[in-house]
Amino acid sequence: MKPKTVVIVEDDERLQKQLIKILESAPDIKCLYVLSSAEEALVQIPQNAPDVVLMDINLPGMSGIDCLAELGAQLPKTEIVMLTAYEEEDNIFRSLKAGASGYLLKSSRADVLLDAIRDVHSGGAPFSSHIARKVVQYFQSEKQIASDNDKLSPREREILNLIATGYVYKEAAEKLGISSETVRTYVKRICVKMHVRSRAEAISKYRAR
Amino acid sequence: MGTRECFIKRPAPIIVMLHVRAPRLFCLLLSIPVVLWSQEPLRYPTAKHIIEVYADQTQVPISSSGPEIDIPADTQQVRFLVSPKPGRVRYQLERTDKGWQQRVGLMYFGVRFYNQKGDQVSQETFLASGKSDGWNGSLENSTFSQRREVLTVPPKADHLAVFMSSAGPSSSVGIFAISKVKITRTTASGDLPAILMSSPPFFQEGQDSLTSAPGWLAGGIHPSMAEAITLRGPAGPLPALAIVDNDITAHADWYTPNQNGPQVIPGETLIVQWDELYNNGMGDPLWASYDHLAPGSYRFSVQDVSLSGQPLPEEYSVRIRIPLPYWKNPWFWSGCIAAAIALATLIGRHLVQANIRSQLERARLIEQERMRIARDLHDDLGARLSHISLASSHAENNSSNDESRGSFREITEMAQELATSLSETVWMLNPKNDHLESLVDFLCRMVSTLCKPTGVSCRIDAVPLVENISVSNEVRHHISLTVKEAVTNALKHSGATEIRFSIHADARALKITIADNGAGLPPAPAQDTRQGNGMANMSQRMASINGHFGMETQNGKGTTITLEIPLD
Repeated sequence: MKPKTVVIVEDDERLQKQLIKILESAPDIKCLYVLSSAEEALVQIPQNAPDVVLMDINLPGMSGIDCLAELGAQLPKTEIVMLTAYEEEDNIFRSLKAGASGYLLKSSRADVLLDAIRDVHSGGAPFSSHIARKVVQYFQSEKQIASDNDKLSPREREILNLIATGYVYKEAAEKLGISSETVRTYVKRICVKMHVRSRAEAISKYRAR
Repeated sequence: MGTRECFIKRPAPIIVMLHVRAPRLFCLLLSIPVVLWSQEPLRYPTAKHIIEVYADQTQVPISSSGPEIDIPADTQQVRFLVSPKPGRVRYQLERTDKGWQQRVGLMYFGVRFYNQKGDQVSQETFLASGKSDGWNGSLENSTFSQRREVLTVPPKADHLAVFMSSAGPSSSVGIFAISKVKITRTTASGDLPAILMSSPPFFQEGQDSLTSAPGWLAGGIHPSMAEAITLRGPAGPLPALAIVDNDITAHADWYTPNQNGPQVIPGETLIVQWDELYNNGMGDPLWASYDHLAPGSYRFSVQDVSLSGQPLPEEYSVRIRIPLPYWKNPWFWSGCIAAAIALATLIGRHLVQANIRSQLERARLIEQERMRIARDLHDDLGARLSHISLASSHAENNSSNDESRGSFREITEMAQELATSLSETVWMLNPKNDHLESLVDFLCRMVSTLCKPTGVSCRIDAVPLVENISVSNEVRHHISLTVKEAVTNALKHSGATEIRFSIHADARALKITIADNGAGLPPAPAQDTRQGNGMANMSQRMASINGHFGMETQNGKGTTITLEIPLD
């Protein structure tokens, strides 16, 4: 299998080195290059796009979230996972809305990190319950949803509620009689819908001006 | 005109005139004014016609309605124009004039010098103005005053003549009489003075005298006003020359003729002596001016005066009122004081508000600064802690030694805990997190994070809030620490497999429950003093924010901790 290509966008040098070391320890993952700022990312990444981008939320200059939005528009096939020092709902929520495929704590263990990269199609790091809560609130808010496709399906809603209540993926999977993988996939789908919806909102807000 | 014998007793001007000119007509007409007088006292013009009021240059109309005339407040001078039916008047402004005021008339007794050709060389006049000393109400009641003047004959004078006149201005009116005119010349050496002229007698022919005895002639515009009269003197009948001038447009004279006047020598000294009796005034319209009158009410009265100077019953008056200048008016001052108080209050309030605003601004800036520092620390430390965590976890994976693996794990965990703690502290500092929604998010996150590494299931029931209420720092602080303690206790000591955390809020209170399915606590007081302390701690925290701490526990059945916090 072709190794997954990864690009790291992180301004802290020591952390860069750490991440490179971790990535290099996995045979199925290859680190293409490392960048220190969002501006560089916007220039370099479109020219040489990887499978996965690990992007720090907290970058000097343009923020990681803005960069994420830009890159996501240009490279829809590239998965972008946000790196954050803290699990702050605000930042994470915003990155999910902006199209992040998931998020990772900087302090995560090496294996968690590698798994997240491998399973990025399945939603990256597990959703924490409080993030899920925020997502529930988001989908519950009364704004008009354009089409049924953008609404959560009943299953997705069920899973989301379970996670918001505190069930970890494994527990949710047991409860629903499906596998953890499937749960992850649903979560990923929820993220995508969130992204779509927030984009639609942005457009309608722009039009309303 | 012949000699008239009459007693002049308190005449009104009209009456005197009639008396003099046509006595019969006079008697006939006498009745009329008497009749009319008695029937209609308003026959005379009212004050409105006689007195005009002027404030500075503008006339103030006398309204028929008000009893008082309002004078503008800033008037410098109030003037009254008194236009009597021709005749004498006296006037008085109460509280200002000391007594009745009258103008004096100007009448003269004089000597004229002529040269040889009969041209006048010069004249000397002696003023008879106002009232003579001996005047006592009427001609026959009064006594003459003697007057003596010394003259030097001017050069080129040849002879002289004597005259008396009721005109200074023709508006002089009144009664003027002279008698016993004597002009003598002084001689060098104490001899008896030589008499040049002596009168009376008047118009007596064939009189022997030391000098020529010229007759007197009546003259002036209305010679009819000049009369030769005989008064009753103490020493018998007293002939006198009188002028009764009741005409403001005309005057009368008595004079000795120019020709055949007594000879004089230029340079010699003459003594002129005569008796005079007079009471005169002016009869034309007059101005009475009063400057800078003090505020108040004044009555200006005008009273008719007879030709002979006696006040007559007719009196006219007007009332004027000078208002307080605004700066003396108490209303003005109370208004000013009220305005000043209002202004002071407004200024005071404005200053206080400005002060408060600047203080708030300062506080806000301080808070912003604090937040910034905290954030910087937070980000910086957070990054480094992540580091430690990563490095340590990497080392953990790469170490073969179980013990070192364990140590590394501890390091990783500690780093992660530190990061979380730091995050919590910064969160609490952030003023943006001062509402309920943030607090709920935070608590959910905290509970979830606490449970995750232990593998204990965590069930969170947090209903999204309808209202977002403001929560103070203190409240946030105490609630989060209490919840943290409760959850930590449950995780460490209860041996539970599941922890249920619920938050509900309505407008009035926040209700939090932390329930575990663990061993519960024995009914007896906690043996573990640390746990006992912990409970007391939580209770105290709740009490300090007016909240309530409740615990339900049953041995073997788990523990439920309830927190209730009022939200107003």
